[in-house]
Amino acid sequence: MKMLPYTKYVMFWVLAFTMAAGSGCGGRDPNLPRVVPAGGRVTLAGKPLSGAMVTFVPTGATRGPVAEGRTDPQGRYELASQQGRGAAPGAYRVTIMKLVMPDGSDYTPEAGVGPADSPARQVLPPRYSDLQRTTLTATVPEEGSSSLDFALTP
Amino acid sequence: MGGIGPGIRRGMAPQLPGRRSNAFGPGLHGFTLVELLVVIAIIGILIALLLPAVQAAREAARRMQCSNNLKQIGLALHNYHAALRSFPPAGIGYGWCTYPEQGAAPIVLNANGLLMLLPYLEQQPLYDKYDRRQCACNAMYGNTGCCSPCTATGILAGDAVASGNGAVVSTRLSVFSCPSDNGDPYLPADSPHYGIKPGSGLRGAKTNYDFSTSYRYDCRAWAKESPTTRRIFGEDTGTRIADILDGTANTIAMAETLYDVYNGKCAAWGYRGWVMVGIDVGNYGINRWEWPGIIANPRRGQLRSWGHMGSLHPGGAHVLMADGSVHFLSENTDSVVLQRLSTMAGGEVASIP
Repeated sequence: MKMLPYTKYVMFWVLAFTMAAGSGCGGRDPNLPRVVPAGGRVTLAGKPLSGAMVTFVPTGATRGPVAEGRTDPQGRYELASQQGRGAAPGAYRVTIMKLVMPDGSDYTPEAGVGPADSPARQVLPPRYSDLQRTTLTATVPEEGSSSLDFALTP
Repeated sequence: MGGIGPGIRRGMAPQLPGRRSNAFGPGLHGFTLVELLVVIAIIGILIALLLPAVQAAREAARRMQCSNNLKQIGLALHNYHAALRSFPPAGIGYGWCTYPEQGAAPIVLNANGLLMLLPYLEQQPLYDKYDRRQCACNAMYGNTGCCSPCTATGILAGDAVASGNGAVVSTRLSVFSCPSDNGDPYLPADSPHYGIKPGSGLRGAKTNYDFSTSYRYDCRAWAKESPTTRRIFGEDTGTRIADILDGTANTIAMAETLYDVYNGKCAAWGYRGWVMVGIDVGNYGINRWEWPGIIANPRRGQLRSWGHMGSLHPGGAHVLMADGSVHFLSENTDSVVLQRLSTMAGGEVASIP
């Protein structure tokens, strides 16, 4: 059949382009720091602190982004950043912020209104909630950790 | 090879093996359907390869214009310094922070430092319309996040609308606009936190470039801060180049931000409303979209909070260093490096990565 050589030709190029397109990209950028699962539990005066925002800001030789998490009703949080779940191993300054609405309920982030536009108030003292004045620190170990706990006092 | 003479007709030429005579003449060969399809497919593939490249070239042009704006502002900063022996402040007399707890300046001007750069950005006529003794906007309301839920206690200097300042700060200037940003360039008209004066209908024009400051909303935050964590700019500052001990090439003066912000609002170029303090490059990183709790659905193009640095350029955003150079910082730059580049007298070793 005379068509056959052309068909082979077309098939070859289609295959070549598919392979070229499929091969190049994918996988993780090796320049990005390694992140490991990290989390823990926050208590205030012994009771679990729910709805608090936990922020880990890298210090010293730590290579990686700021990681954050929100505590659940049991006070447990898990860190995440723009590079996915977890945090880079190393030393961190930590702030814990807890916003409460005027009626006493927890502030919950919604799609439309950020905390700056809500009437919520900070209830934790600056030694926990202020980035410059915080006394909290933490170290994320190389293998990750789920017990980066903070016991706060009012 | 003989020409196609008038005497030679279709079908009369000798039949060579594999060469049929056809409508084009003896020995001439047309295109088969498959050949046409192959050509069309190749053209299609080439166009498909080219189109994204064209879009990328357009974005590259916008990014270049954006960095050029920042360069112009950098030159204006240095001209201002040459004329007045110090850099302008990030802002003057913030109204939203004058709560009793904070014991703050009673005179409220709400002016943005970018206003003072207008004469150095070839905007002298606009600057002449601005009354420096009166406020740039009437915002006197903060959030209750830090303080009593009450109106601030400062004394508003004049009125932003009656003085004509409102008309100045609602003018959109191309030097403060990054062409890549497709968000709404104006602030809401009727917000007591972010507007010029509710009911006036004036909408403040936002800026894509703002001063490097700390992520704090208490009064006189710069003066209260430790010298090792201070940024070049803050409320009522007058930093000199001599104060930048880490080196002007290693200290960030200004950065790029986006119009669309989830928590709070992008700053106006003319005034400082609630949380419009500038950009803290050092603490939260570049191009952050997600917010813990609603992390499932971050939207590219909507920065997660006020005071954040970001852009719609792929992979990072621009910064202006205090020496006037403009750099593109990757969004994966380590947080510690950003902190070191933001402080002006931190004593750390850092350079643009």
